Parts: sequence; structure tokens; C-alpha cells
Amino acid sequence: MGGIQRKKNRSQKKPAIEHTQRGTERIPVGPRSRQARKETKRNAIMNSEYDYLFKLLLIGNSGVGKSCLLLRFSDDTYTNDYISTIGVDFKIKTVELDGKTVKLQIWDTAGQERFRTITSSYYRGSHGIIIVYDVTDQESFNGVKMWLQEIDRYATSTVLKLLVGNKCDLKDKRVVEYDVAKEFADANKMPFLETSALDSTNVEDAFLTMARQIKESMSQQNLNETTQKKDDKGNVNLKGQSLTNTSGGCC
Amino acid sequence: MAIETILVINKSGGLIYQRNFTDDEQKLNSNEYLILASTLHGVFAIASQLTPKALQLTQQTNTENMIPYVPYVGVAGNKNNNRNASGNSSKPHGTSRKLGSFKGDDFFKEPFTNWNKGGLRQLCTDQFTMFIYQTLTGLKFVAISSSVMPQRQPNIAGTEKTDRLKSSSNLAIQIADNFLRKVYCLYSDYVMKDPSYSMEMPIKSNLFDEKVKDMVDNLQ
Repeated sequence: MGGIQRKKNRSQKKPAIEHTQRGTERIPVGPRSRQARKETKRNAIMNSEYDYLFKLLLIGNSGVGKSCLLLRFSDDTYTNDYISTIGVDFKIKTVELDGKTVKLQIWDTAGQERFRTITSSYYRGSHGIIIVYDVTDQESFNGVKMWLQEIDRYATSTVLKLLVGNKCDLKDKRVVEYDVAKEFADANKMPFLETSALDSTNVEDAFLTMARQIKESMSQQNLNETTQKKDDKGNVNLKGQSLTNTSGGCC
Repeated sequence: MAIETILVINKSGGLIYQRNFTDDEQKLNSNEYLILASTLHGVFAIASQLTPKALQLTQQTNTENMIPYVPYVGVAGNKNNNRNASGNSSKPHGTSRKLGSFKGDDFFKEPFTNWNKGGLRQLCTDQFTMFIYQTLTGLKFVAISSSVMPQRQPNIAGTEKTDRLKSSSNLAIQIADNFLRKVYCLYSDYVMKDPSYSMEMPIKSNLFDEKVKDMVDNLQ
């Protein structure tokens, strides 16, 4: 973590994106008792509280500041204590995107080698993966290649990737130059950002860019499906017209 | 067996459905439920890593891998049927309702394969018991029951003589698996056939919600 005294918790609270419960719960119609209906309404609150659930994964070598980055994003706090993550840790942030309530569930995995066997089972079905390295630690940047291999092996091929160089506030200790990392990211076709969990540079950007991209790629998929249907001429015509123009009658 | 909570966890460990059936206030908020579900998913993964390979292999050939069918778990009218007809299940009961696209008076009537080979199936504590049913596609249905395990035996044990030999815990797992498989049937009927549902995302179907509630009510 470096010898420099890191200031604890610059608590300038940003306007929280955390949303309050929306009154979107629908009451089922049908011949049901009033009490049952009331009950359904109360219980349904939880199910209609959010529209999407995105799974984001944080990976990277041990000690690069994955947990700190996440703590800054979710609670806007910073701690200088180093506590190794055991297995996996979760943080959830609710954001509003295009009028939809999206819950970002971020899986903060343990970087230590001994947790590797379990970590691999967490890749499954994740929508976005953020690879974190430490700009003051060349070894952690070299490790990025290995993490990319892990992604290829365990995650779905359409997963969105993001490279993040953390601790960019430690200017005099920097060993990985921005250009080098940027070049590497471009070669692997993924976006790149430098962040600092300490002074919260780019932290929110990193996560929100990702969330927006996932949302876009999801609606893109839906769009593709619908355009495909339009192109497909073999589909059932629901317009109520005959496909071949039968102008000639039966006799 | 009073069901307190039903959870549905997708194959990537995200909570897509949660519902409480007790009248008391929500013990956890939605974020805490998400964390609970994902932690459970992680524990499940660890448990399957811990299960000896030999055991998993023998299970594949063993008949133990089949879960016996327990009649009319969570289906309307099962109580009357058990009490009056005394095992004469061919007799149609008046209160039977349509089960969506499923024909007959129960969702299924044959033993089924247990796809949960290495993972967690039951979690017993002093406060509650948790049952997990995993489908072939990796979807997990979780039921949290308020009953503490080695206690009372459900009255179905009286009609099934072969089950008497087995422990009450074993029978409870079987009932829970039967029940949760029926929730899976509801899921395939009301969630999978919903054209506005996007895969792996939270379930917001009121129909599914209602049917699950009915099923839980029938069980009690």
C-alpha cells in the first residue's frame, strides 16, 4: 500500500444515486379476497423494486485495491486498512439508466492465489468484468495477461471488459506508464481508465460506463432480434393478407 | 412444513425472485437478500468442490439419485384426498383446478432425477431449515421453512409405507424437492413463456407470484 499516509475518508457526499422505492407495484386483478390482494401488494414491492440486475466482477492481483475501489464507489468512503478479501465480497449499487432501475451487483473477488479455484466459478454469467492493476506495481500489470486468459476460459465470450489502473494518485511511485497500459488495452480491444480510490478520480466513471455499456448491448441484442425477424421472409404473416397475390379467382 | 421464504437464484448466482410468506415485517432489505442469495451460491460451489469425486460417480449409477414422487405436494385438495380416499389417488377430487399447461391433477407423477449431485441440499439450524433444489440448467430454487428438522413428520408418511424406514429428514428433503420442482413447473409455465421477460433478470410476473403463493398456502 506504500508508505505514504493516505487520508481517511474524504467524505464529500455526492448526490446519491440510490433510489427510493418507486410505486410501480401492480395489483393483480381477479376474483381474490381483499386481504390476499393487499398481501400480494406488500410482498410484490420487493420484486418490482428493480428492473435489471447486472453482475459485475472485479478481478486483479492481490493488493491492487479492488475492495477499496468498490468501497469508494458504493459507500464513498476510503480505508487505509488492508484486509484480504476471503472468497468473495458483494456490494450493490442502485442506478437509474434510461428510466429503468438497475441494480449493479459487484462481486469483489479475492486476488490471492489460494482462492483461485473458487474464483473461477464466479465468472459464470457475469455481464461485465473489471480487471484492476496497481500503477505502482509492475507485477500486477504483468498479471493482467493471465487474468485475460482466465476470462477467456471461464466467462461468456460476449462479456464486456474494462482495464483499470488503480492508485494513480501516487505519482512519484508510478512504474506503469499510461501510454503503455493504453496501448495494451487497445490491443486487447477493451477500454482503459486510471483511477484512484483515495481521491476518487474516475471511480464512478469506471462503473457507470460499464453499466451503460451493458444496458446498451442488451437493447442492441433485442434490436438485432427484431430486425432479424423483419428480414426473415419465411415468417408467418400476421397481417391477414395472402402472401401470394391471388388475383385470379377459383374459376 | 410452513414455508417462510422462496428464492430463485439464476445460474450466475443472482437473485431473480424472492418472496416472503409470513406476516411479520421484512427481516432483510432487497440488497441483503441479493447478498444472501449470492453467498449461498458461493457456498454451494464450495460444497460441490468438497464432495468426493468417487461419491459423485457412484451417485450417477445408483438409484439413490432418483427422487421419489410424493403425491399432491402443494396441490389444492391434497389434504382431503389423503384423509378420505386413503390412497385411492385415481379418484378425481372435486376441488382440483387447472394447472396451467400441465394435464391431470398433479404436475408430474413419476420419480425424477436429482441434478444436484455435489452441492448443498439441506441446511438445518435451530431456527429454520433451508432446502435447495437445483435444475439441470443450474437454476436454484430455495425454500426456507420455519420447521426445525428432526421434529414432527408430515402426515403423508402414513400413506407411504416404504418411506417409514427412512429418516424424517430424508422424507422432508423429498417433499421439499417435490415442492420445489413444482415451483420450477410454474416457472417454466409463467416466466419462460412470458414474452416480455428477459433471461436471467428479476421475475416480475404477477401470475407466477400468485401461483407460488397458492402452492405455499396449499402446503400448509
